[in-house]
Amino acid sequence: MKFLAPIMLLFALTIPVVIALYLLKLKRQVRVVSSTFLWRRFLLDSRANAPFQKLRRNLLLLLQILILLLAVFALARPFFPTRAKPSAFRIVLLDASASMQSADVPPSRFEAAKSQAIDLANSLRDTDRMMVILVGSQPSVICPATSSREELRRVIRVAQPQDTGAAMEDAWRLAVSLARDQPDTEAHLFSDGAFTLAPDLATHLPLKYHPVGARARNVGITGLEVRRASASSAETEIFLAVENASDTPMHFDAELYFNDQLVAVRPLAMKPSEEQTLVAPLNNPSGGLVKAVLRAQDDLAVDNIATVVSRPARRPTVLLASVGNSFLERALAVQRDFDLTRIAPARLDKSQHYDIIVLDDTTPDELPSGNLLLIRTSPKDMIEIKGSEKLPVISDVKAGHPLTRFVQFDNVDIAQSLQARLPDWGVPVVESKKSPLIIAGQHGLRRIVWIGFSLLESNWPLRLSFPIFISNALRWLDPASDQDRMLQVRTGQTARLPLSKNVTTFTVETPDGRKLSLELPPKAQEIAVSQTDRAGVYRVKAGEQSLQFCANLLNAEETRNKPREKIEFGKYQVVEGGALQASNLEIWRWLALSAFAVLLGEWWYYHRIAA
Amino acid sequence: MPETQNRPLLTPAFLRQLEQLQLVARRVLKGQQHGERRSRARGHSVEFADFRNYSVGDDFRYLDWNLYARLEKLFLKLYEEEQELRATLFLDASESMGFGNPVKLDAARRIAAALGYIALANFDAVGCVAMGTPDEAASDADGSAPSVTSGAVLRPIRSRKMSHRLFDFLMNIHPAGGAELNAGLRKHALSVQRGGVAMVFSDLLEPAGFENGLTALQSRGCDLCVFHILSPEERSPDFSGDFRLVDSETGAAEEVSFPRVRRTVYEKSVASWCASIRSFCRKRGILYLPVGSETPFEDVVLKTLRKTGALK
Repeated sequence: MKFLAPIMLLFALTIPVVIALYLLKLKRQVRVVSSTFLWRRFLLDSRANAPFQKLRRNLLLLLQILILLLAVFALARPFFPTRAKPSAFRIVLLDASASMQSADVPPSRFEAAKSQAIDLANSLRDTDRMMVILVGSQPSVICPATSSREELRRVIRVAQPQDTGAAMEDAWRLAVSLARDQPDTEAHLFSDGAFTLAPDLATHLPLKYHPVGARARNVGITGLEVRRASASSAETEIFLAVENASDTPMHFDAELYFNDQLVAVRPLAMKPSEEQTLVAPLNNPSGGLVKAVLRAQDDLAVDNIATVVSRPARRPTVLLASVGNSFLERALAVQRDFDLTRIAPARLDKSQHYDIIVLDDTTPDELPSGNLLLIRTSPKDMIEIKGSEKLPVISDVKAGHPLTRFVQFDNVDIAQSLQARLPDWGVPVVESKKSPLIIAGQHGLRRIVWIGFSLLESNWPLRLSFPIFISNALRWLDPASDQDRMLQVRTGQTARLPLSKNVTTFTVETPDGRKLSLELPPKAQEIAVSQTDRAGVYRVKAGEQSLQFCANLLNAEETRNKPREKIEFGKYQVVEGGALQASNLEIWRWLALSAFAVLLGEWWYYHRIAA
Repeated sequence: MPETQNRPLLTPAFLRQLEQLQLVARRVLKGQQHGERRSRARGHSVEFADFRNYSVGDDFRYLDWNLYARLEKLFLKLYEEEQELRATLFLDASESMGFGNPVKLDAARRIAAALGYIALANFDAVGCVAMGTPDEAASDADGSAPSVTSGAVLRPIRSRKMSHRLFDFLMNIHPAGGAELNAGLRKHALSVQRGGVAMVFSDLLEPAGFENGLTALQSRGCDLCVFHILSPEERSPDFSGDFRLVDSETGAAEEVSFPRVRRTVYEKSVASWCASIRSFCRKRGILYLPVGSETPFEDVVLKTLRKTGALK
């Protein structure tokens, strides 16, 4: 304990004054006794043994001295050095991502971060305010700005980590917007730094970074997929990507299960920061759950297990309705993993179901069900044609789209194309200056690729990019890939599942055993489940329809849980981690309160003995 | 003292019990008159003591003629002389003796009355001195008109029939002033002509001390017995706090802080003082009897005194 105003301890010199006053003011009761002879003897004995016997055992005097001592102590403003940083408004960003579950700081990094955040809350002055943002898959304000330390402690104590990545950028933007027009604001980030921030972040809000975590000892699954063994084969295989994020080599077994039956065990010896991929064949006629487990002794358990739903292998069917286009037919025919059927446009039957329907320069009255590849076709309720454009020049290609993968449009010339208005369901993949030339998107439950010009009115079929584009389009339009995508989401992402029948409610059973009952809007065509914070298998029941999907972390950033002492912040700024700054916890209020209590006690005692 | 006025000193039943008792003197005493007690002196009684040769002038009545007939020598028969025991009761009548619950003086006069009555019942002489104010007025020689002032003296009286005088004298003693034990005892020691039994009833709360007085009495051949009478409040006060204590005799004040927890110290201090008096008395062969004013005087007379051998 130290004192802010030790000079005030000089007031302790007033204690002898109190004693003197006490002795002076002492009112003695006059009493006639037979003789003072015995009393003189007694006083002589007492004085010989205890010079200050008058002061001894005198409760009132002791209480008065105690009051004075407490008051002097309070004046001296004693304090206990503690950790805090005073500021008027603090925004706490509490990282609740999967890496914060690492147990290198027992019981976990998240608990350590909570403890530090509570320390910060305890150091608040009465007029200070604090807000807590929990940063999981998306930021959420779990405690609005308040001065109540009790409320802050309660909220922080009940906060739970998630099996997701950290949406730190969104959280930062939220913090910046909340700090707007607030004077003397400071953000405090309690995290292990397992995230990346975009360089264009606003950095005018002062940030204090409080790193947690002690070491990097973790291996994790960064990819799990069930895919066809080869394009021409119906065989499936399991693809597993594993990363060692430790500073030391790790030896462990990777186990693969299909419907809880062990199908493969691979011993792995991984160097620090090494990535490895495993491929294991899978005999999968009926479909089921594929689970990968890493039997490793590491700090983070959530990334050691991943599950995917594997659907039965099936060759998708393709229907080509064309008046005749040998280039297109050849391009489709070489896709051996698709069953191709050719018919004349007139024989198009809308009752027949195909996975993919290719309409080449023909516009039927009614479209059959299935995903569509439309070539110079303009169904009325899908796309609006404004006119035509001659010799359109390709001005933009959307790079990164699955359709344009390995496709070059540099040497493609087009004689004439339809001039279409961009529909709200699609994005332009290739466009001229005036109108989109290729549009891709999701219209209702079906995917559509629209090509606005006739292939025969361009030299594209002669280019190498054409068959690649057709291959990309078929794979993108293949409903199986879409469903695979739907049945496997990252934790925190929304899972969207097709609905076969109209229902109003559905239930979701989460991996941790909770059952959620949710409602659907009328005429809903899909189910959206956004509460996917836990990794594992989610079972959905909507009427008679039962579905299951998997949520996995599969996030290399979270797997690389090495605590970072500094984080890159904005373009040039680097924020270094630091402990909470030293501050002082004053206790003069308690001393003053004690003095008051003793004063009351003395008053009570005085009246008791005076009565 | 109202209880003293309202209650007779001794009840008839108790008086009958007392008649069975007798004062025991630890040495053979010398009285003024013949009495019923053997003395060291040879005299005229029926108790044979010794023979001695005849010398001229001896009383022929005491010659043993039987021996002369046998031996033809004159021998004189000696007899023990029986004399009276003279008991003097010294009562401290100072102001401090009027304190206590029960009052110390009350206890003193009842014990004195009982002992006086025992002596009178055994044909002993009993005198009494109330030591108090210095203007002592001596009572008549026969004790017929005792003064009731403090410091009065009751001349020796004899016979049980005179016991009412002793009782009246005792009843009329009122505590006042200081006792000045040393001076009082020394003065009356001079007036005591012969040895006897002297009994002092006092609280001994005398700043000037009492030792010289007792020594003076002893030097006159008195067999001394000190009744040290203290009230319960004096041995263990029942009050506590901060006091200005005023001495009843001198008016001197003493400021005392006396918390409850200090009572033990006080009691030890009193006990140590009593022990010093006991030691003083034992060294001089004085019988010391501490008596609490609350102790029934019947117990003191019938039990304590018999146990010590002062009564038989």
